[in-house]
Amino acid sequence: MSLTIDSLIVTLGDATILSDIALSVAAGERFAIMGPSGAGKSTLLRAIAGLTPIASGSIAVAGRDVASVPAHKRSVGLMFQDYALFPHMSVLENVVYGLRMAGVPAKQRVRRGLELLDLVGLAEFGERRPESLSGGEQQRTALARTLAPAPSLVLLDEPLGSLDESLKFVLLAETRATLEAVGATSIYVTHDPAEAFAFCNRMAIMDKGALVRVGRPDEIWLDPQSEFVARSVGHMNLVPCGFVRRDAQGLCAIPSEGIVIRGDGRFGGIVEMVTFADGGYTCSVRVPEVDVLLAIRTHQPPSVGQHVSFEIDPETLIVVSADEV
Amino acid sequence: MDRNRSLIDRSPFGRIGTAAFVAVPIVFLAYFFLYPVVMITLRGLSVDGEFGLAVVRDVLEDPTLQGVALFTLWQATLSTMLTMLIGLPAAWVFARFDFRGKSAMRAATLVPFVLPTLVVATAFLTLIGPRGVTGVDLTGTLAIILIAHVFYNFAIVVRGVGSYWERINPALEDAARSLGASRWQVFRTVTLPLLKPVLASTSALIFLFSFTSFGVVLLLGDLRHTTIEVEIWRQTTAFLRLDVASTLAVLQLLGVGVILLLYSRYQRRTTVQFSHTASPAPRPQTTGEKWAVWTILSCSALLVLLPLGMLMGRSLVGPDGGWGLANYLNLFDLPTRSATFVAPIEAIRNSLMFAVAASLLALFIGFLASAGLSYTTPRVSRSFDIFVMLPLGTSAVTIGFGFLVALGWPIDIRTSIVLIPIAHALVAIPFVVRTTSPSLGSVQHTLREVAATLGATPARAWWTIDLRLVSRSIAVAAAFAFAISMGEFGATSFISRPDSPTMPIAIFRLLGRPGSAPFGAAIAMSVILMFVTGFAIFAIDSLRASRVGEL
Repeated sequence: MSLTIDSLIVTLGDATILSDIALSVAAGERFAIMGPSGAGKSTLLRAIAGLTPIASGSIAVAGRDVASVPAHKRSVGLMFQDYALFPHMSVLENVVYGLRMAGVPAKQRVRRGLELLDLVGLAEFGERRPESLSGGEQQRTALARTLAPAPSLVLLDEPLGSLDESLKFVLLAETRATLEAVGATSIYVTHDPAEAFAFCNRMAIMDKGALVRVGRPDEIWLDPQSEFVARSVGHMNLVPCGFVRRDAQGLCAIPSEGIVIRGDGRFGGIVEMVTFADGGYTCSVRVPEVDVLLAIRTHQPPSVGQHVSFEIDPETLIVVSADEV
Repeated sequence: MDRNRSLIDRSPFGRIGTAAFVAVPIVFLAYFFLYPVVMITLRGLSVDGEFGLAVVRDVLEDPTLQGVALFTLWQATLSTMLTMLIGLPAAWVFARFDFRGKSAMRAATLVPFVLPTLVVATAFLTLIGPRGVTGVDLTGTLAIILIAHVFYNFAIVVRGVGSYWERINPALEDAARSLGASRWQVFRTVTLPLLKPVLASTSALIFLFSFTSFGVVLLLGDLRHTTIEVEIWRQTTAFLRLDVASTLAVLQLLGVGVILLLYSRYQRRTTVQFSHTASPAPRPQTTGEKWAVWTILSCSALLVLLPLGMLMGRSLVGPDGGWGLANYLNLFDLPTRSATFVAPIEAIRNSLMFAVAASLLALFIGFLASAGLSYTTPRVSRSFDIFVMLPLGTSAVTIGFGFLVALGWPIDIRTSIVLIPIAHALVAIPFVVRTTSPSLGSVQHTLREVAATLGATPARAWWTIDLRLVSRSIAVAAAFAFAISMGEFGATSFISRPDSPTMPIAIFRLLGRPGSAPFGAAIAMSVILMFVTGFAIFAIDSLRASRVGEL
């Protein structure tokens, strides 16, 4: 169901952890919140779940203000980063815990629990103990447990943070599909732009306790509006626009496809490092005029210390901000 | 994340509920522990109702009592050093190696520690006493007291130091080796400094137990080789010098206070968390390692099993010298005291009843105290912790003596039978707290939070999460309390009534009677007591499979 937050402030002593947050997430939407650690992402989720006291502001779920409703009556599910599975219960007991608290009769909740385990691909695991599960299986158990009581809103706090890189995107796709299958409204917190993009319809970038940019991933990518947001979503090459086009002003981002090493290129720099990744090479080239390091992809790596010429396609430039910073 | 304040309280019972948790143990300990101790102190420091230090001066200037005090310190020092020396190699083996039967052997090392002092003393009597099978009589020497203390406290070193050692990451030692340190240098420069706090706190604990040793010294020592603890008992029961006894108790309390302070100081440092979660230790690899492990284990096994095996074997040798169950059959009709005839077998029934009552009481008070400790602010918790732990340091004799001195007010319950389970509970409460409070405190807060987001009220979250997670440690605490009550002798020796002796009291009385029939019956009774407490210990150890509590 929908979530509307207005003028939300969370303080800790004299420090302001969240300052004047306003956010609305539509019913059924998959929303992502991205930002560096310490930005207040987890605190925001905890405030929505009713675990962290708020100083002022309103939090409305499906139009009902829940700011003064205790956590256990909010119907907001929160999946913790370390999953927080109950170690003394079996997988199935974990999953049906919320139904038990809601007073669902034993027979019914076991049936519902098994359905959910089936949905996350753990049909055979009901009797197992959480500690005997792999990281991915624990993640799926936690997801099933969060979804079991059919919460109005599902919050996921870095749900893949402690998993192997190779497993992440498989589980991300599964998580997304599962949330879609039950028609949940969800908020996904991460520091990884790739995860956020792969998960959400819409996202927010967070910094120092404030939401600095809200929008669709492609919108934000093409129009970051600040250097911080540009770097957050993964733009590597930020240069003053004037470096590429004499008539332009402000700060620009050059996407990797917009920059190639070419003998007749108009620009030049010294290669400082060459790394191999994704079947090609990334060269870090120091450009003396603007004193920035540009990352340039190539298939024929130059040697370190060599001077290379390169060309930038002005059409690909993304204007980040009007100021050069 | 720590910096997040949580709306979900650690205590599900609000401020008032938590305050009640703290209040009940405080009231209990104040009346049954603090008040008697204060009364003893007042008595020790007054002459004819007036404040005066005359008795204190007399005691301090009495050469015999000076000798007792000196011997108490001397034997405690030697006992501590010897136990550490003998226990450390075994601690190393248990910490660093895996071998067949490891968990059974680890459980076996705990048996002496929880064995009633009377059983330990009787075991050594059958081995190196006047009727001992070796023919060597060491009673009344320093040596036999030291041997018994080493036997008794060996487990503390093996388990306490061993489990701490286990948590020190072996990679640290490997790193030192790779930096060019020899095995000995690694031990001296890496392992030993890391072990320092646990070595210090364990030493303090062993010193404390030896300092206040009662049953062992009472039976194996003599008038010169005796401790302050035994002297308090002698002054009260033999000479009726309550003033001298009180003064001695006060002096002993001072000593105990100093030791406890040192202990808690080092104990706090041992709570440093090592990031290393004990990985399965390897089996001994080289021939040298195999020899070392084998030798140390056999010596430890001999130390633990020889006296107990001897006790069991000797119990089957009847008064007429023939093999059989005569000693056990004698338990049914030998009177422990001629005036009021009670068959020794009745003591078993008494002990079981007292132990059940004492365990329930200790669990109730101790668990409330644990909850109080876990749910109050750190500052309140720290002072409360010291308060609850006080009975651990106070000698059992002082507790029993204090009951006699103080509990005539407001109603006279000094001759009531309820005193026995209460005294036993007092001795057991610190163990209950030490076993249950770490597991209550270690329940992850996120578990309560996630329960809340799943719709659990604070009370239900506590009931379904916290209580379930600590249920195992509650069972361990119950077994501990049971074993302690079964074997308690010091306090009971003051307050038990002639017609309702406990097993240790019955053993003591039987040992004090002439003839080989009572001696045999005492051994038989000791064996039974050993098996009952031993059973409790194995219950503890099998429950502890997943490591609960600090003990």
